[in-house]
Amino acid sequence: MSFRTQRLANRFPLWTKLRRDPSSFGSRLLDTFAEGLEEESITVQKLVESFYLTTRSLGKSLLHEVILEGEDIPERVATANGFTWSYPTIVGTLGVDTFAVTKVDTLTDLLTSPSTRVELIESVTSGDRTVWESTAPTTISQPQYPERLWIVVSGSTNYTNKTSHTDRDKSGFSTITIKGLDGEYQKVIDHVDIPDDGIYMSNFAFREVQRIYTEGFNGNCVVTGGPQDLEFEKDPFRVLVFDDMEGPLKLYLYQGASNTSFVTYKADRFKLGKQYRRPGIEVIEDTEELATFILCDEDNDPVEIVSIAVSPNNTFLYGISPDGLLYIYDHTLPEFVTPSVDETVQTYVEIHPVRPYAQYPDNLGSPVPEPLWTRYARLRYPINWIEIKRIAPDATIEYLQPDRITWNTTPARISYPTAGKMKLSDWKDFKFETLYDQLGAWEYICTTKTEIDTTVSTTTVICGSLQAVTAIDTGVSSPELIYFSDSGGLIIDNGTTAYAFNEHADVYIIEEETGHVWLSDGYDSVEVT
Amino acid sequence: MATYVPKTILLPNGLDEMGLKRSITRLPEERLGSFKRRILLEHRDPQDNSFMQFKKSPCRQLGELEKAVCRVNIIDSDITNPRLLVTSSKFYFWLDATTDPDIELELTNRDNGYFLEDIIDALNALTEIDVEILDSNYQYRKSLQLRVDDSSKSATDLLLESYENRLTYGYVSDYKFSDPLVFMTEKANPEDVTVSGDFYVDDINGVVLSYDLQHGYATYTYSDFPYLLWWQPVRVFELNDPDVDFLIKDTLQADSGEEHRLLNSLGTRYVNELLLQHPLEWGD
Repeated sequence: MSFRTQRLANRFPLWTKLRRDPSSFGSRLLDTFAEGLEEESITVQKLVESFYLTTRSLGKSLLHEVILEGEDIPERVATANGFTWSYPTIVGTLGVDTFAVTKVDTLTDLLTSPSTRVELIESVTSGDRTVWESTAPTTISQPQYPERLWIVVSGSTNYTNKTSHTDRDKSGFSTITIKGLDGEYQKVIDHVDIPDDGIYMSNFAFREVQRIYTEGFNGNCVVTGGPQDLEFEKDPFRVLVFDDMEGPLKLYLYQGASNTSFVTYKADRFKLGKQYRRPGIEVIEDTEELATFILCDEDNDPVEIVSIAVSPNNTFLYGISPDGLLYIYDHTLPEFVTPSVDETVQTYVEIHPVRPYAQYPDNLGSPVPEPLWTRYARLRYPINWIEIKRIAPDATIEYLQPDRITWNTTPARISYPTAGKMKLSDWKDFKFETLYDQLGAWEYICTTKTEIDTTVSTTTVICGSLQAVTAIDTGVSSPELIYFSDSGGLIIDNGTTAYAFNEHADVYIIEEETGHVWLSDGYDSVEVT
Repeated sequence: MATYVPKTILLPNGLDEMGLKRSITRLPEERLGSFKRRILLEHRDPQDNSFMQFKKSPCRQLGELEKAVCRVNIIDSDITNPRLLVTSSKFYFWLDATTDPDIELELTNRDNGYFLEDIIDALNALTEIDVEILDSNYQYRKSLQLRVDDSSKSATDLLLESYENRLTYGYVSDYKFSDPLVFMTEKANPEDVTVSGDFYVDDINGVVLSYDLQHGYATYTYSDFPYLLWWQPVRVFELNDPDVDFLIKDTLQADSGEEHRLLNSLGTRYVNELLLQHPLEWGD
């Protein structure tokens, strides 16, 4: 499910199920369009950035073409519904190694497929990457290798503003200025605007830093050669959308017990007002959380991940495990399934989960169940009883018992002692809980009996996981950090050495009629059978 | 079943657009990271019609970037006028440019300065300087590919209206000021600047002090230290370079001793190329 679906849904009133429940039919219908919109917006963003020299996504430079001959050209195979093609099997040979090449359907897949293998091209000494800290402004350490500098500004309570009567002697600019030599030993002066606390990158890749000074803010500033191991990874391509706000998607990685790792999708809720970052005004950190997913391998078994990064090339989420396995995720929101029971045209009482994406218990202490609420959304008739049925991912059916706490396979109704004589206002919504101990879709069916009719409403909560598209052994022992260089190259750092990899995707597309084959990667020769 | 050899197709890319704006084209099978480096270098240090850029630009056009070999730092504060010179076939280093060179090596002589290692060793032998190695593979390179360059350069700076100005470069010499009244009498020490027209120049740091308020321009010669020594895959030198005879001529026994007078095969090739482009001869 696309992140953009909620943006389209937010065009509808807040009370609509389409807007507040992503498992609704309406939301799932909008997802059809939102997925295309999200793909296009990512493509546009990459296209726009590709005309800047500071872009990290350099794109693809080469394709490799083979024209099949004779019986290698695909043939039509008649089927009951028409025909299909018999595609060839392609194996690429590079030196003494052979690689099975997989067919993909579209040019987009050919250009942005996840890697199937990586190739070590360089390793350099890394160690401590800190170049400069505002707490020790006279001490400058040199970057280990030419790389754009990461600048992290935090804890500022004041940003000077020339229009403020207290700051009139200031320029009104908040900047950090870095003087030094770039990768080719050219003298450069880099001015980086710092409009607010946050994370910034220098425009130049610095080989040597000679002087750094800041102006216009009073927070702490840490400059490192290459990325800092921050508590979150920002996705530059996607926006996290809630039903009342949206913001850049931030991915927080945290470790659970028993070698499990989780990723939480969050976005910042910013405060408006001209008194922001002024003396005496406390800045309230406000981060909204949409979902937490457990990270899994290709078989959907939990794995431990020590660091994550979003690829600027194919926008996949990369994670590295302690044993050097590289997991690649096509990270998005999980798809909701069609409920097993149809809703009635009229619904009165609905089930509202605290969030539509529940978290798999991380076993850090006692597993915490997540709450849901009943909501008498449309006050029509006095209610006699309701029945809340829950279908777990393993198809176990349970009913909420009258104590409103326990679940049992025995059907149960939650009725009012004065059923049939009560007023509309007598109904009191209540909270109940579910421990989401299975990955997958948890379906809730609420049957409401009134004096007039019986209605059924449904909703679904997904206990989600991110399942790896592929896993590749990098051979790096005890990795600590994964990131992408200023040219989009994959770097894995184990604290002492940074390893640079080339990524390869063994995929091809074929034009069936002519036998033209385009390969994503180059080989000495390809064998077609 | 058949075996095919794939043909490479260059895909258009945003970098191609940026390269075209700077007259740099992607080479066959060049990686985009390398192409980006070349464009960035061209962007920050663009080609022009100076001899320096004529020496630098062939490497980046051909996709083989220059390599910084080492950085020579002056650590003796008594050294005020150092100089490093690489000609077509010789390497010179002076601790004091007004005297004979402290190092003079022939880049074509296998017993002298044929390898970069010979030059680094000679520089390391001087205690007044520090040599910072930047290319860890320098032992495997020939010194004849060193970029032809001279640390002695000229510059002109605008003087701000102040009693003290710092010039852009240090190790300055031969300075001339556009205002002769402010800079009338040079003093050896800053405390001797006591009357109108007195001035003092800190040669090492390029700081100019004066009794009167400075303005106008300062034109000066400076020695570009710390000095970066560059190794070029594609080297450019002038055919009228003072030491070019060591490269393009073999020795003959003359009355004054052995001299480089007879064009060798390399020199013949250069002269023939020159005549092909410019076939005029003496008297034509």
